[in-house]
Amino acid sequence: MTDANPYDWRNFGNAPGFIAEMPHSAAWLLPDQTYRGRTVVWLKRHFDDPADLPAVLRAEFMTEVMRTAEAVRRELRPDRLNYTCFGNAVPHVHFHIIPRFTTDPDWGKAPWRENVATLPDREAKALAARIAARLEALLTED
Amino acid sequence: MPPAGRGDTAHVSSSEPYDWRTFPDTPQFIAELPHTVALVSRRQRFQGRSIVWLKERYDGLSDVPKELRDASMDEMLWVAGAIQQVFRPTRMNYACYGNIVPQVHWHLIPRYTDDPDWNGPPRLRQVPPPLSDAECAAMAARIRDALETGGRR
Repeated sequence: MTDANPYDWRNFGNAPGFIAEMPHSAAWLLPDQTYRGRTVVWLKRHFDDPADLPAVLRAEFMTEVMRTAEAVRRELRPDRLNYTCFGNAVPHVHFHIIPRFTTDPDWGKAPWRENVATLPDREAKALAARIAARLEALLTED
Repeated sequence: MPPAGRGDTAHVSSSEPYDWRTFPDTPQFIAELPHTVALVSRRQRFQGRSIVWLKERYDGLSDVPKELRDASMDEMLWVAGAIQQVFRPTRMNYACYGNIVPQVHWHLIPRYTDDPDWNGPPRLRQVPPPLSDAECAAMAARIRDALETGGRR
């Protein structure tokens, strides 16, 4: 990796919603918290599309995505989790984990609202810490 | 229960919404793979948009055992490769929602620099009108051919 790598996860390491570094990925709360608990799991190595990943790396990355999703689920207790891997704004493999509730105004639809809500840094930091603690607990269960 | 109709859930039987065995009889059917079934979507806001449906009954992705998850994702990416080969999109978007039908299925959404939502998330609006049966079958056949001849990028 070069210093100029725009996909370097460490660019996000100081975000108030940073959750954890894992062997192949890092996780943090997206600044857009319209769906509270919306989390990104970012692959450390640069790949454009999940189809480009070697099979073993993809499987291990998905284990980290799903473990993070479980931590989000235990903390937020959503009725459903939505998963997306788009990379339209940033062409680098990452998953969004989006908690959904039957009380959402757009329950039953894809998770995109026009009005974006953010969390104050202090609240983002506290939520990220709670999800990180859940993740830590899951690691000891595995 | 999923709404009946000719939209995104048109392949889903109202009496047996999770049973993939009826899917091969629909014009949307692309192929049956070891763990999944591939179907084209009726709504083609993004040309080549398709669904890869897990055969075994699981409500959410986190319920799927690791081995099956990995194997079914491989299949999902084979289908994505076939779509790539046929339609040459600029990117592929992958989504696992299950907000309407709570059975694990992946949406494969090809993206193009001239698509209506380019640079942003794909909006799964109920436009344009659904494909006819013949159009569906023709698109499914093209993707199936690519899948059978290798499909991968």
